[in-house]
Amino acid sequence: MRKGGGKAAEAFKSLFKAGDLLLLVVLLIAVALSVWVATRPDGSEARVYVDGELRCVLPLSKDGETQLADVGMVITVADGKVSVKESDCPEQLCVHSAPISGKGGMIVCLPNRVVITVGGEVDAIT
Amino acid sequence: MRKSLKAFAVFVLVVVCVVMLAACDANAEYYVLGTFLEIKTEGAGGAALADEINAFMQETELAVSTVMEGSDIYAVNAAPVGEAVACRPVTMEIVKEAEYVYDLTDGAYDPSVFPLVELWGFSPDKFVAGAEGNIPTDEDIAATLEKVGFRKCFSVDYEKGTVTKLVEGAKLDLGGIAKGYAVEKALSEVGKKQKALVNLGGNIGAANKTYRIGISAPREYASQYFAVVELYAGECIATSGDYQRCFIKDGVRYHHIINPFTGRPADSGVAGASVISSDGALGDALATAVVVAGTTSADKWVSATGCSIIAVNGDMAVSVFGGRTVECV
Repeated sequence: MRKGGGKAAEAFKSLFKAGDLLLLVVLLIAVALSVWVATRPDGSEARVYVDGELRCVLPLSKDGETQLADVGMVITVADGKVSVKESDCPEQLCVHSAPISGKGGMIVCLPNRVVITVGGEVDAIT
Repeated sequence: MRKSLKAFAVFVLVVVCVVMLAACDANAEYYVLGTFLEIKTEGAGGAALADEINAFMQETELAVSTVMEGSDIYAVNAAPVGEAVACRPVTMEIVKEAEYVYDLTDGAYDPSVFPLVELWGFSPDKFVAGAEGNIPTDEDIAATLEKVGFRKCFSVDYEKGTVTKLVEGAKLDLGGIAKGYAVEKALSEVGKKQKALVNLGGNIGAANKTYRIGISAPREYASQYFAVVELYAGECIATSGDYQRCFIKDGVRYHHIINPFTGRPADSGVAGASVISSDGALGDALATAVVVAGTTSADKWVSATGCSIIAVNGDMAVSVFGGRTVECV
């Protein structure tokens, strides 16, 4: 095992010079950073999940209504905030939840298994 | 040949880097204990750990649910007066915590208040947000108060692991403490393995990392939360408030946190209370007690348990007990 590892290291060394390695490290850091930035949820958009599956991403800068026909829900974006306008759930707690601004937050509809999140300045809300 | 080998090696390294990065952080979601469970983990093995935590919480729900036939609490509530019902160890552990907070708060937190919650129409199966609520008559409230009072209505034998109902119509409900208990146990499950945030319907626990937690604004506000606190590794936070299940009639707010002494929604002046403690069950139940009894005894509870309490009134004025830094936004 160690022998194999040593061989791989040798091959690696023979393939890359010191300058190459530096460039490689910079490249890997750049790739890691860009993946992190691209996948990190921020306060500019709301992510809508139905039963754990990402259904749509709504920019908070664009006013409008989105209908989730299969779960009987209408989601509104207005003045930089997202809220639930209509839901066919029996409790209606989601409709009466406080709208989420770009500072972040979450609206959950338990009966419909819908989660709307805005990743903002906090990790969770109690 | 050498150049293409080099390019291939770089490509493989980049792919490995992206895959490892993607595999490191996991965000898992489940539905358990009547609410939404979110588990955020950093580091490898997060998905399996989240599944373990969910499995434990599902087991807890099977033990303490008020509506699942076969749960201990269902059996206690359905049993005739005087019959000792054998309960699972997890149920007995939560009952013990509930009794502790009941005594600590002189009954402000009362796990037997459920008949009053039902009378006011705030039980989860009946309540509809935005609908016009019904205010019960004084007679109905007085009659229901007879069925409320943990000591009066239930006797517990911890050695035998049994709970006995003493008053016909009395009901036990651990919903105000079980979620906090489950989050605290989830942190034990995580141990030192990795950084994790466990959020069970607003009962939140932090493992091996400090997280920033927003506290829900009880009234209309610029954002969903009015303040931010840092939740340190090993700590849990829970919040209760008069704004989650409520209706307003003739300008008066009626909500689901019922004062077990008056039989009416609490009117202590506290609109929302958050408790930070390493004891998740304590924090969950104490948050309710603060809404019921107000902040008069808050200092006493802080010194008895080492917790921190953040209370906010309807005008969004904040009181902090326990020296915690609260950043208002």
